[in-house]
Amino acid sequence: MIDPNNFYFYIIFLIQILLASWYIPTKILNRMKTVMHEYPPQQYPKLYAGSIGAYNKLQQRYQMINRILFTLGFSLLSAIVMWDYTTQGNINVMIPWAYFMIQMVPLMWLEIKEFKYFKAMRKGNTNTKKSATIIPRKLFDFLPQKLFGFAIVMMLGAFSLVIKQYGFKGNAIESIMIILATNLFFAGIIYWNIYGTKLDPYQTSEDRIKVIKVTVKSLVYVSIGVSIFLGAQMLIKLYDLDFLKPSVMSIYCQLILWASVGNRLKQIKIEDLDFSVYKTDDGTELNPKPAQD
Amino acid sequence: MQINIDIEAATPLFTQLINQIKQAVVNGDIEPGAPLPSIRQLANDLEINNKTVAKAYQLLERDSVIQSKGYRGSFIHPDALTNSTIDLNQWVEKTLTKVITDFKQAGVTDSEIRIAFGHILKNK
Repeated sequence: MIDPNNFYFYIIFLIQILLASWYIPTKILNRMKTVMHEYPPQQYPKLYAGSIGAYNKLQQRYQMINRILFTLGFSLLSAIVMWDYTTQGNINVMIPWAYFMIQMVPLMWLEIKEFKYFKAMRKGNTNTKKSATIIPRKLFDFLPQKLFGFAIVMMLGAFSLVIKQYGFKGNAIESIMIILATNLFFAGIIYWNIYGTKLDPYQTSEDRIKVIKVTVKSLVYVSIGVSIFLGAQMLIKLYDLDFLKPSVMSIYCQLILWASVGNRLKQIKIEDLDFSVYKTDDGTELNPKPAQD
Repeated sequence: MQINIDIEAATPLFTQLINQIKQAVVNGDIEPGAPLPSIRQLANDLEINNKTVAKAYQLLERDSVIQSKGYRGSFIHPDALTNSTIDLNQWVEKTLTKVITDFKQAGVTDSEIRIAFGHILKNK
């Protein structure tokens, strides 16, 4: 018989499959297609560092990998249900986490591709004129102080729960160090976003600020999510609610995805970005590039 | 307020930076006391070397157009408006032209002038 405690996990895991391997990838693909349709290479050649064929292939591969992962997710869920039906055992907490890590592979691949395209864009930028704003950028220009304060309070709250659970020794110090390292990593990305090299050589200052704002906020949301997760784990231990662990892990993965990618997709709207910078310098249309890889 | 540089222009990059910051002060685009971006930020944004921006900032500080406040960063000097209108290069050129003209009228040769300059600069 199916363990009723696991039933909620199936629903939550199903949402994880749908969210990370169907909903978000569909949103990303639609966005890519909209950009290519609304801002074609003939009118916006600077936007395309590679050929149209390469972009189409990228989209097809991204879609294919996500379809495979979607199928894999359903197979995994069926296997868990079957296993639960026969053994009534507890679900390993690492299952939703490991599957989530695999679900993130196409996104990471896309991110690496994006870096490569930006590099090619910078290489292809023949404009010898460079411009920069003379206003210093500061963290709190991009992040509300209240949100920053809230993230700190959540982190400290999670730490106090850890210390309450373990005392100030081995496990507690390990958990605290992991969270601190994670937050330091986020701080590094935030610093790099604010002060680092501009990836897109044509991007306007206004658009850059918009993108930095959303990225910084997303990372702080993820940091809050990490603290909540740690706190939830401690509460599970405290009240002996081990059966909730896989569900909490799956919800945590979904929260991270929402806070990072979901937030970026929602906040950075295509119509709000200035694509005129990708037009030819004299405004003329180019002949379309032949479709090739 | 935007800074625009041309990496292929004959004018050195640090001079372009200095001129534009001074121009911005004269035009009132940046007020005395206003903060300036960090060397790293400006260098990354303009895709130029940090040392180029550092040199420009150093010379602007020498001319009292900007002032450095340690870890807080660089700010526009309170007397920047007056100091931005003084072109030290122009003043040096004007003074030297007058001195060299006097030397030449007295019959001093070019190599004697060069050697004397060398000695003076070496001893300073």
